[in-house]
Amino acid sequence: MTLRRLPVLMMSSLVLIIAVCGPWLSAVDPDTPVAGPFETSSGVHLLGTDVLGRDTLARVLVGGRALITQAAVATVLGSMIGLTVGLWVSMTRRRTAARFAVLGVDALAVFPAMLLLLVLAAGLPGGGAAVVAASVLVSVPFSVRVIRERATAIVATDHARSALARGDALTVRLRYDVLPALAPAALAEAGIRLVAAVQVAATAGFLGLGASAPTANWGRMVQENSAGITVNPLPVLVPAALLVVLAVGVTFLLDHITGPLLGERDRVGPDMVGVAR
Amino acid sequence: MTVVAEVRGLTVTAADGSAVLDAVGLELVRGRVTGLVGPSGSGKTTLALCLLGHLGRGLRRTAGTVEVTGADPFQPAVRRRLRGRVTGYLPQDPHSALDPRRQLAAQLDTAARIARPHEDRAARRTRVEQAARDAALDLALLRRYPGQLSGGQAQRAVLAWTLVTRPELIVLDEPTSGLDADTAYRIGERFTTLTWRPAVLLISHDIALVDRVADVTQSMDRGRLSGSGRAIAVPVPSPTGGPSPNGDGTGALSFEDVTVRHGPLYVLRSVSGQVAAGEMVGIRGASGSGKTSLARALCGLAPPAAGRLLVHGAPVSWDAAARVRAGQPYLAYVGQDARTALNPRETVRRALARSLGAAVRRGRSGGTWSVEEIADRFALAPELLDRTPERLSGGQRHRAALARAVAAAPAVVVCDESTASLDHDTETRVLKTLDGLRRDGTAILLVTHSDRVAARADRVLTIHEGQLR
Repeated sequence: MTLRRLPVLMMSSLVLIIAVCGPWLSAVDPDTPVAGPFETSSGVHLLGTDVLGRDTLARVLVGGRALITQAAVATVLGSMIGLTVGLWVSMTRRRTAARFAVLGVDALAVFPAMLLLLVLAAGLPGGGAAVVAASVLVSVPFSVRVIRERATAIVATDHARSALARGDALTVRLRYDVLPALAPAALAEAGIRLVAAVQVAATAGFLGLGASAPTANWGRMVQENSAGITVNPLPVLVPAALLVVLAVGVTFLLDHITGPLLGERDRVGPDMVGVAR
Repeated sequence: MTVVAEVRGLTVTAADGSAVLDAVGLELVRGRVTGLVGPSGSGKTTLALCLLGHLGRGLRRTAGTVEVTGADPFQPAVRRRLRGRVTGYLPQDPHSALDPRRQLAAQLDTAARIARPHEDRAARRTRVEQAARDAALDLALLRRYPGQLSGGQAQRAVLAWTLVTRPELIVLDEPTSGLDADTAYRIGERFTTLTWRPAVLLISHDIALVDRVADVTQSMDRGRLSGSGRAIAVPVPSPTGGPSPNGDGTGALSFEDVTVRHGPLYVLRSVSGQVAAGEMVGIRGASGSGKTSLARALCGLAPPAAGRLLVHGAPVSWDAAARVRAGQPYLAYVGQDARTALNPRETVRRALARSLGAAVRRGRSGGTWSVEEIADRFALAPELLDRTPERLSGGQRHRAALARAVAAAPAVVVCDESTASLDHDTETRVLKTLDGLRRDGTAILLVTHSDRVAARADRVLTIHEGQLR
């Protein structure tokens, strides 16, 4: 596997490192104009300058962290809520309550992400809170459905039911019977949600929501600088490319890290049933 | 005499270097049934899988060759070509081999179409029906989904599936473990009279069946094949123990007017029965008569449509979760399909430890046992304790499931064909352990097809046409 995966692995790690450590690396103040607008690449300004004559490289280095933080916080929160609600719905004996809970969660899925984002941004005072809240609200209905579907099947297995009949405590059953079997689905689900959250965070920047105007943000950079794309395309292309690699790389990294942990198995051998097929 | 499959000097080792198969040589000849017997865990299934070109997880082939119709099944391309066309395989635990969401007829039809893509629909239907008849499977059952089949019926369905492609080599892993003696014998006879004269490898613990059906019998012990010929004596049902009614008269378990329905189909109609404390009761009946339905209902896994259940005179809920909440007694169920009964991610040790913990919580005496002790009672060697179910043999899985149920010190143990895939010695040992358990006052219900097992019971009830007698 290693050789073919290595370039992708390095690229996605690099983007993550740029996003997280970038603010410490930038020597130039990203918010003060240093030259004329849309100057092309030069020895002093490696990626040229943007619409207000600010150094593009400095803004690229600074503009990723908020995005990643927002996406990560939203994913962790959304996954926790999705996992808790999904598990409760599939394990509780209050069937009616569970059904109504799912209906309520489904109703949330009706709202478009952008609408939620705009409404929340208007209501919540500045910063990333609105972006995080919107991402969470958008992702939870899907997470609940996926987790519920998988957990229901796991709870119905013979070994999980015999543990229930034996009277094992809920925590014990969760720890040994349910969660290990649920982990692959939950992690895959979290990976997709992370990409979606990156998208929401980038869109928020593009729309000028979230942290207020001068703050750098890869999404906002694409929007701000699109006017000068014919003069200096770099302030648009570099953040756009970083966003793409981030979205692809994050799921790839997640697979790479969790694969061996979960024991990706070649399902061959006595474990394989129905060989006659 | 054409050799369909030949195994020469095959050695397969486990991850820890121990040999699972040790220089095994075997010839499977056209039109001949080869029986393979041997203790549980001796490598029979590993050999069968090698004929299909598969190795279990963590196993390595270190020496030897396998040839099926002159080709090496370990090459992926050859394996694909042979599978389902030249080679037919019947796995243990048949329920896991069927697609739960398709009718049997559709599944058999697909199998026939894959093997012979150019046949028309009518020819395929004849082929499917012929295969069902060869497997002694009632044609009416073809319309059912796997979930509506009993253990024995599922086994015959998978057998029909194996036969539908008319493979030249048929590998059968415990094809009759869930069947009553009559049906087993009827199926066994068909192997010798199949019109296309395939080579058959029959793995079974039912020595009487192998003796009657097989032309050659090989026995396997710790990865070594020995003794071709038919010099294996049929063990006589052991008289040891025998019926020794020591129930004290108080009904440990009694159920009244139990009715079980699957949709419009009545499986059991107003069935009543009683088991005294310390009594071992056998339940018999033809395949598909509702034995498992009754067993699962009693253990709270599939509440019946109607009925009352009393344990030690006190009414008990039909739902296992409700029993736990109300602090009612635990009735343990040990199922036919040991693969699904065990958590695939859990070692035997942890499964037993959890179960012992349940006994301690309920303050039952079983809590004084250690994991090693209880494993030993069910003939599970200490090195098996740290394995997950996929690295156990079929018989070992059954014993692990049984040990887990007993470790929780239940008021009643219901064993559903739990000893069907065990060899004679191991079965005797397991039954002895159950016997000891019953002396401690646990009521035991044994759902079984085996005369030998039924002979150990204090009395035997038979389910016939929805009635229990």
